[in-house]
Order: sequence, then structure tokens, then C-alpha cells
Amino acid sequence: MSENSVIESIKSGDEAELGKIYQKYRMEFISWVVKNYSCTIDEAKDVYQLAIVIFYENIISGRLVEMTSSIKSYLFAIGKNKMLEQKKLANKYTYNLDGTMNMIHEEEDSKEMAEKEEKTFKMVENCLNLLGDPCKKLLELYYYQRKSMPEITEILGYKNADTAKNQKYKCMKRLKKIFEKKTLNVV
Amino acid sequence: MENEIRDIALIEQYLEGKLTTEELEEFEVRLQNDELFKKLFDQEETLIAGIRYTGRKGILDKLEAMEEKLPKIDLEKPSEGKVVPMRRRTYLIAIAASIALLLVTVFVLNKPTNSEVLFAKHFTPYQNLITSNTRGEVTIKELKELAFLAYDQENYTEAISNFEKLPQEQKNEDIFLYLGNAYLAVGKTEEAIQNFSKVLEEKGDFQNQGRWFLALAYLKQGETQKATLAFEKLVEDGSSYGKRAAEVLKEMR
Repeated sequence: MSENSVIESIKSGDEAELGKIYQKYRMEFISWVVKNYSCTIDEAKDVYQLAIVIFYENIISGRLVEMTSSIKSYLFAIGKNKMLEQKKLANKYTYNLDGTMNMIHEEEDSKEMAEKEEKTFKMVENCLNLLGDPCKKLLELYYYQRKSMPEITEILGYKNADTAKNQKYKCMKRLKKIFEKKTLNVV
Repeated sequence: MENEIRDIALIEQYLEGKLTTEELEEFEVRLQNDELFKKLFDQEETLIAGIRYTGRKGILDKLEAMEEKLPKIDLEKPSEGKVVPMRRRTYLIAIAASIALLLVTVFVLNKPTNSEVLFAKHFTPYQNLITSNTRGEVTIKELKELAFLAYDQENYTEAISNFEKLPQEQKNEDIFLYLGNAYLAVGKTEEAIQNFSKVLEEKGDFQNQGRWFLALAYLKQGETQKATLAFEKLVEDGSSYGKRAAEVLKEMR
């Protein structure tokens, strides 16, 4: 299978194909990271899984349509960027595109913030599970996979894109309700 | 109710980076002044980030389940972790930022149409890019993609190195604009100024953006006179940056 047809089948929802890619470069990628960035095998595995997930997200969202470099060099480039990012922590200031300055929090601060954030996200995850399908599926298709309404209409078999859009609004509203209730219970 | 639907649609457009500069300003002013709107915004943002987190986690869980069934990797000399360890948690959370990042991403991604054609036309094969470890050879088009990829991931040093490797004739005004921004982001103001000046020399579609960032770079360098001139020009031209330029001018006094 050519690399571009691999992309196409992943885009159409073939997760087994993603699994094949995962296995294909796993050994090489992980030993490369371990060797070049002095980290443990487990850490390298994490980076590899992240690279695969970013690759996947770029395909399903339509950002990556056609492979102009090889899948391998694409994955390695993401891995390299991520490792450099880790090292970049010393750099405290970055600029936004609009020229405003962005202050990255001190490491401790950001750790605390990250923990808080994760707690919130986990709660959203619980709420989504309570909500169940088709709402959960619909919201994931729209916000995570960034599918268009016509695409979602087809995947979930709605009458038309307007129905799907309406449904999305209702699902979001229900999610909000559940989330609000949960937040109140926790506090 | 009607209003809420409209506001939610507006917030989504904002998060997707689809608002025009004017709408964006209006949006931000409203966020500051309208408490209810701010509350709605925070809620939407949290839920969307949470949905993305859930989606990403779903894929990661599947990968991990597969990983556990695969033969263990046993390298000859497993090394000690020296780099800041990258735990799974960290990058699951990293997705939250992707919402804020989207503004930048969309801006970058909407651009290549014109340049993609250019690239196909000027296709010069085989330039070595990736370090000695991957022996793949990389074309100009890939180089540009990698540069934007790095830029997207806020890895500006890497983006600069890739942009700079592009042959001279491939560097058009949008490359200069992004390159300038990347330089500005890592604090290399002099190089940033050079690139923004080139944007202005091109007299193309990015005049206002180029001037705005040039002015900011001058400002950073302490060249207030030059910065003032550039900001004033933005105000005079009635550009979309005029309002912000006027604000900066006011603050400079």
C-alpha cells in the first residue's frame, strides 16, 4: 500500500492501519530517541505514542492530506520537536503572533495548573460517558476529529446537516448541564 | 435563548480562528466587559478542551493496549533518564493549549495555497535536512512543511533553521513574515527586523502585518523613534492594526 493510500484509509476511520504504522516504526523510533536524548525506554515510548497521535490528528482533521515527505520522516520530525520542546523549558518568554508577550509559568506553577486542568478534563470525560452515544460520538467527531457537519451527517446517518447541527447543539447543552451538576457536587 | 445560540456560534468561530481582525477586537472587548459572556466562553472552552482530551485519550489507550501485547523492547544499553521526563499525563494535557494555539495554526494553514503552487513549480529535489539519524532526503516542499510544523508547535528555533534552508527564490513575503515572527519569538530582534523589512519591500498582501511586527520589533529594541513612525503609518492608513497601533502610541507617550 502506498503511503498516500495509508493516509486515506486512516482518514476514513481505519484504526487498524494506524496500528500497523505504529508497529512499523516503533523499534527504530524508540531506539533513536533513547540513544539521542538520553531517556528511558518508557519515556521514548511516550514520545512515540504522542508522535503517532499527532500524526493521526493531523490526518483526521484534514491538515495532512498528502504525504510529501515519508511517514517515517514526518514521525521523526514530530519526535524531534517534542524532545527539543522539553529542553526549552529555560526559555520563559514567547511571543504570540499578535506581538503580545506570553509568560510561561514557572515550572512549579505550571505543574500545579496542569494537575488542576487534568482534573477538570477527567470530569468532562466522565460527563461524556454519562451522556453516552450518539452524543459522545457526535461531539468527538466534531471537536476532536474536526469533521464537518456534512461528514458527520453521513457517518451518523442524520437526515441532513441542519439536523446534525441542531443535534450537536442539544448534546453540548446536555453535556453542560451534567458538567454543572458535577461541579456543584464536587465543591 | 436566541442570543445564546448566536454567542455560542461566535465563540466557536473565535476558537477556530475564523473571526476577522475587527470582529476579534470586538470579541475581546466583550470578553473583558461582559461577565455573562465571559462565563459562557470559559465554559465552552473547558468543555471543548475536555472533549479533545477524551478523544486523544481514546486513541492513546488503544495504542497502549497494543503496545502491551508487542514484544518488549530491550536495547543494549538502556540509559538513565536525564532529560525532563515526558510523562503521558503531560501531553494529554498539552491538548488544552491547542485551542489557544489554533489561532496561530489557522493563520499559518490558510496561507500555503499560493505558495504550494510555487513549490510545485520550483521543485528542487533532495536537500538534506533531518539530522544524521534519519537518512531520509528532504525536498523543498517538505522543508517548508517541516518549518511550519515546527512553527505550529512553537518550536521556533527549529522553524528558523528550516525556513533559512529554503533557497532564496522560495522566500516570499509570507515566509519572511513567519521567519520574522520566529526570530522575534526567540529574541533575535535584529534578524526579525531584517525579515519584516523584506515583507514591506515586497509590497504585497502582508503590508500591515509586516509593519505592525516591525514596529513591535523596533519597540523591543528600544528604537522608539522608528517604532513611532511605523505605528503612526498604521494609524494613518486606517489599517486593521490602526486601533492597536494608536493604543501603543498612547502608552508610549
